[in-house]
Amino acid sequence: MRLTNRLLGGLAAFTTVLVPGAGWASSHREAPFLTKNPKVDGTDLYIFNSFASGRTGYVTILANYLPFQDPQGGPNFFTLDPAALYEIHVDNDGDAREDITFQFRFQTTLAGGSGIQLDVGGKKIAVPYSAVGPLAAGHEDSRNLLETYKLQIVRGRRRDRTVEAVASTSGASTFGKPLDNVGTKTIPDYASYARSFMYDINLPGCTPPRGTHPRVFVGQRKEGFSVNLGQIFDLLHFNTSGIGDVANILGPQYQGFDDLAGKNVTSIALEIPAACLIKDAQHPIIGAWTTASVRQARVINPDPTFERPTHEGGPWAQVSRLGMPLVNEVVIGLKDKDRFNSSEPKDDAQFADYVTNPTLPAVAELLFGGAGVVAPRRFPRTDLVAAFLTGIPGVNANGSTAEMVRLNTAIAATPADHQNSYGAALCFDPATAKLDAKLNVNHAGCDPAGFPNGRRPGDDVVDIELRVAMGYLLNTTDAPAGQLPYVDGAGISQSAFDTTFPYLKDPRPGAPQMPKPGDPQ
Amino acid sequence: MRSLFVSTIVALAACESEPPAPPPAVAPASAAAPKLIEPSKELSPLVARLRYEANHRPASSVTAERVFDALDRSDIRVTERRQYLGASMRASYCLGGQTGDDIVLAVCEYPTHGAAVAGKAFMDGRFAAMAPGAHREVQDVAVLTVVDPAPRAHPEIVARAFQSFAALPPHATQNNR
Repeated sequence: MRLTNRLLGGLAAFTTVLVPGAGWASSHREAPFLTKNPKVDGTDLYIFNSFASGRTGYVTILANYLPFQDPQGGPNFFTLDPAALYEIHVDNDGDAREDITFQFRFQTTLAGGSGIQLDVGGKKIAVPYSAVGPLAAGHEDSRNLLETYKLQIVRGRRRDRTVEAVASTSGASTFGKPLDNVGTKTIPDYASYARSFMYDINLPGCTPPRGTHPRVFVGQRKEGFSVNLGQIFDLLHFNTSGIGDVANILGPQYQGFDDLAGKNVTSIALEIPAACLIKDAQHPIIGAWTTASVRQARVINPDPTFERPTHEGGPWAQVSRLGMPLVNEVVIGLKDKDRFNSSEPKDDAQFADYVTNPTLPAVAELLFGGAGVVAPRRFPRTDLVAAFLTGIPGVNANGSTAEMVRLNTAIAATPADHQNSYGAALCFDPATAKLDAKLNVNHAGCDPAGFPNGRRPGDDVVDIELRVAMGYLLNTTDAPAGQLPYVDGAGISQSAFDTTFPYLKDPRPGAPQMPKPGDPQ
Repeated sequence: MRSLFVSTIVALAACESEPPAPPPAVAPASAAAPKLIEPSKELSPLVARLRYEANHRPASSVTAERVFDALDRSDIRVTERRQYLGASMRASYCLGGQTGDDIVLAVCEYPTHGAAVAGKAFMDGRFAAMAPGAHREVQDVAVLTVVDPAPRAHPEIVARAFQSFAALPPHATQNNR
């Protein structure tokens, strides 16, 4: 039976990678529960040796939450959930259990308790705006919606140990969060305004390098993740011709298909001395992951107030977990996505089959097999176990088998203008593959300070993981099509980011709206 | 109302260890047999499309099964036959597999001989990179793809595969599906 012309037209440029029930955004809306609770949706975790001038010896951790923020999304912009617990965990002894946890709790209030009111015809009327006049660094009198947070550190198991408050170097234990970038009329100079919310902190039990301090910043940023989301969602997508309006899966890294280019995100950013994160100098590798938890019980308040639209009670229930990018999206099956988000790395054996026998390459073969394209045949996929669960031997393996981002803090940061967005993936010789080979720092393009050794904002993790999934780390017998330079057409590199903490760019303003890539000029 | 609200919170918090409620029962179907609905060709999910392609194959004697049976008789055996998406190759149906020597074999069926010739050209052009080392031939409405795992690692087997393929009578009446 003939296919319809419409279908043939759609396939003319054609072919596809299909990811059933999954998205490729690093972790944006990846699990059913989180689609109903975006404020606790952890989207990306970046962790890398700081490469800003004067910050050698520091590790930067960026934990992003609340995806798909349209800059103009008022009047209620993108506050974090006051009823949630946001956490960043660090394992520094390779047992897949947290040894250090940074906890963030947020509070949202109205100015003066009931908000700024205007005299309208002799009556005081509350305004609907987040601010009623220009805001600037140190000048927030006209801000109506205030957001603050407290930072705590836990050493050992996060629910069993003593929590210590973290204060700024000025002694304050409550930190401010800047208003989102609602527009240039409200906040004419967002960059300097946001910078005024960056705090030097004293971290209990941590002695920083002389003359420096750890830092914290929480606020809206321009979305740093880059992905060709729409075409992958839409079943029939990548072509191999470069003709038409879909990306060429074997084409250039940059094809203008970044579907997150116009979005913002909320980032929790820390810069901590590496010496305060590692166990000791003999154990320089740390693993990290983020979570968000809410109380087990939530009841809708039938008589809601601004402060209390719901009531929460009971123990914390973890609802979001994020380490390596794309794991819960592309690797974990739909039925287990919420369960993965509630799990801990120490229990990851329950998800091992998803890694050792992945579905993505099998789906790719289903789509391309008629032309002789085959998925890797070697099972279990020990290469993926190394990439996702153990770390690469000789690079960032730390003895545990658990999903987290692993960073070897002893590998020096690469300066911003020398970074390669394919990171440490290029440190292996694609002709001989390699997991049992030593890191070859002389290999063309090798940047051992990049993903999967930690993750920097400019690392193109989608392309790297696509290639690894198709067998980049296997020999050509096990993966005949594994050495091809797969791309999603949404490139990224360090040039898209700042070179100082918190590295992610200032958010796009709500007004006037900036043209997005691809918009008519 | 507020006291009820607060007590509800306490009750919910106290119930954390209770097992989840069973899913609601599915409404019973009507006594009449359900009407089968053919999936939309444009929008059908992948599994439905594979099923659709399996049920709408061209009327030809050079079927994928006959090709693989002929290869079997030539001692070229795939360990497992797998259906692939034909639409990706502009084909009506595709079937393939791998031999113990890691040689990849795939047969795609097309509505007409002309479509098969065009399909071969399409695959040759679009998949030169993704299936390096692939060779293809057309017989009637079928295209056979053979991929040697390494350049000319098994030239004799590849040649024998195409000889068996070419020997299939294109207009036989037997339908060996």
